[in-house]
Amino acid sequence: MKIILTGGFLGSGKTTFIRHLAEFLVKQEGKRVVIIENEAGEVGIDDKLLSLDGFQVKEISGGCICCQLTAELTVAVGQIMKQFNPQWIIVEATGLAKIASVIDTLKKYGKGFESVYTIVLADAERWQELAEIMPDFVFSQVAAADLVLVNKIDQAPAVDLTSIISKIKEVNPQARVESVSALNGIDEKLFKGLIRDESGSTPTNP
Amino acid sequence: MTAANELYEERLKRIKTAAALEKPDRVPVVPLANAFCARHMGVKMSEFCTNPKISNETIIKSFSRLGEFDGLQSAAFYATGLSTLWLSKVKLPGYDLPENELWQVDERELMTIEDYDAIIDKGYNEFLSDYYRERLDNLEAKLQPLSYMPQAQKNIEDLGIVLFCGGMATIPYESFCGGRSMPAFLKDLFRIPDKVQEAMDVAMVDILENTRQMLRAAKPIAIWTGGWRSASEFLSPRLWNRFVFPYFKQLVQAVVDEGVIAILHFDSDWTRDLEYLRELPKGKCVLALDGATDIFKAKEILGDHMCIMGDVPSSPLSLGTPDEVHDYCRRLINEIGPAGFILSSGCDIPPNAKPENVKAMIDSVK
Ligand SMILES: Nc1nc2c(ncn2[C@@H]2O[C@H](COP(=O)(O)OP(=O)(O)OP(=O)(O)O)[C@@H](O)[C@H]2O)c(=O)[nH]1
Ligand SMILES: [Mg+2]
Repeated sequence: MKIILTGGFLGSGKTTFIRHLAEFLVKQEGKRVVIIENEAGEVGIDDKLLSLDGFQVKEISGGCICCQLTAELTVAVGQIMKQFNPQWIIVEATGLAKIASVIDTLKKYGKGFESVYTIVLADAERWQELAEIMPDFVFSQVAAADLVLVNKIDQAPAVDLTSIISKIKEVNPQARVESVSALNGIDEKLFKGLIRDESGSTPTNP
Repeated sequence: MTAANELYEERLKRIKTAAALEKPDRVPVVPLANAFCARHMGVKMSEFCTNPKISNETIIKSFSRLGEFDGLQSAAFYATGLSTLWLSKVKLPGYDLPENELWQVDERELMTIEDYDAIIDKGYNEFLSDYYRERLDNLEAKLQPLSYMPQAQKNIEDLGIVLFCGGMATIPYESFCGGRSMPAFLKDLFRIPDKVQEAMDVAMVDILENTRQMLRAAKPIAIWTGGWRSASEFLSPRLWNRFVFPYFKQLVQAVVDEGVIAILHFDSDWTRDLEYLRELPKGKCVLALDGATDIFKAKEILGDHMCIMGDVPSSPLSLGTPDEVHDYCRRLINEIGPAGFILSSGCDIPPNAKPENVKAMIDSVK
C-alpha cells in the first residue's frame, strides 16, 4: 500500500485534483483506492465532487483543533488498511496542516505502507497574495513536496506563472514542478510520471 | 481543614509557585481533556458535548482512574460555547454528525465585509448581540447550560483538584477570522487592512471590558487567552505585529491587572515570534504550547520571563507507548523545569489517546 499525501492552502484545488487522480488510478490502472479527507476549519467536502464509483472516501476531523488531526490521520490509515486493503490511499491534508509534521508522524507511527509521496498544490491565482500574507507557511509547504502543482493557471497571467515556478524551484530544488488547471482536467502523462516518480521515492517502515 | 481542602491548597501553591517562575516541591501536572474523557468512559460524544453536567461528571470519573495530578484546565465542556470565540456555528454529534463523532467548528463566511462597518458604528457588544441572534440562531439562548459552570468548578475543587482555567477570552483576529472564514479574512487583511484594524480597535474596547467583568464575577486563578489562527506560522511578521500581538498585549495586561494569570494557549507554531512575548508582564503569564512551537527554544528565550506549560503532543498520546511518553515528560521536567514549568498535554488530550499513556504522563512528575 502506498500513500499519496496532498497538501496546499485552503481552496488551492486539492479535492478537485484528487478526484482526477483517483479516477485515473481506478479506471486506468484498475487499483483499489481510498481517499481520506482531513478537515479542519474549512468548508466540508462537496459530496458530489467525490461521489464516484470505485473508491471510498473517509472524512476525519479534529474538533476545533488542528493539532489532533495528524494523530487521527495515522490511526485512520491503519484502520483503512485493515478494512479495505487498498493499493493506494490518497490523503487530503487540511489546508492548514504543516505537511512536514504530517509526514513525520506517518513515518514514525504509521505501519504497513511502503511509501509516502507528497504533492502540494500552489494556487497560482492567489500565490502573490498568500506569499506576502503567510510566507513561512506557503514556503514550508512547498519545501516538503515531492511534486508541486501550480494550479489554476487558467486564472493567472503567463508572466506571473514564470516567476511563481522559479520561486518554487528556489525554495525546493529537488521537487518536480508542473502547472495545471485541475478544474479543466489533468493530462494523463502527469499521472503516469507521478507513478513512475513515486516508485523511486523513499520507502518507509518496510 | 478537610483532607481535600488541604490537598487543594498544597496543589494550588505548587501551581502558583511554578507560574511565578519559582521552583515548587515538584513539577505540577495539569492536563486538559474533554473528548478523551468521553471515549475513556464510554459516554456518547453527543451527550458529553451538549450537557455540562454530564461532561463534568465524565471528566471527574475519567481522571479518577488516571493517577494523582494537581489540576485540570477544564471542569466541563459545552461545544456550542466555542461559537462565542470563533463566531461560527458548531456542528454537534447526534444532531449534525453521527453521535460519537467529535464536534466540529463549521467555518463559513457568516460575517460579511459590511460587518466591519457595523462593528465600527455600533460597537462590538451591540454587533455581537445582533450576530448571535441573526446568524448564530439565537446563540445567547443556547448558552444557557453554561450556567452550570460554577457548580462544575465546585465539584472538582471539592475533590482537592485545582481548576487552572476559569474562562476564555481572545483577540479580535481569532474571532473575525473564524466569522469571515480564513481565506476571506486573509483577503481582507490584504485589501482593506485599515478597515479591519479600525474594527479590531473598536472591538477591543468591549472585549477588554467584558473580560474584566467576567474576571470580577468569577474570580478565577487563571484564564485561557489564546488562539491558533493568529499563530506566527500563518502570518508574515509585518501583519502579525500589526494585527495580532498588540491585541494580545492589551488583553494580557487587562487580565494581569485583575490579578489573574493569563494562559497564553498558543496552538500551532509561534516559534518565530517568541522574543516578543518578553514584552508581556514578567511572571504573570503561562505559555501553553501544543507541540508545534519549539518548547526548548521557548525555554531558551522566555525561561526567565514566563512559566511554560505543555506540551506532550497528541501523536505520542494516541500512538506511542507509556515508556515513550514517560521519557518525553522526564525530558521536559528536567530541561524546561524544574522551576517555572507545568507539565501538561499539548492542547487537548486527543479522544483516541490511550489511557495508559495519559497515566504515564501524570505519573512522570513523581
Ligand atoms: N479556475 C480554477 N478554479 C479551480 C481550479 N481547481 C480548483 N478550482 C476551484 O477552486 C475552489 C476550491 O477547490 P477545491 O478542490 O475544493 O480546493 P481544496 O484545496 O480541496 O479546498 P479546501 O479543502 O477547502 O482546502 C473550487 O471552487 C474549485 O472549483 C482550477 O484549476 N482553476
Ligand atoms: Mg478539499
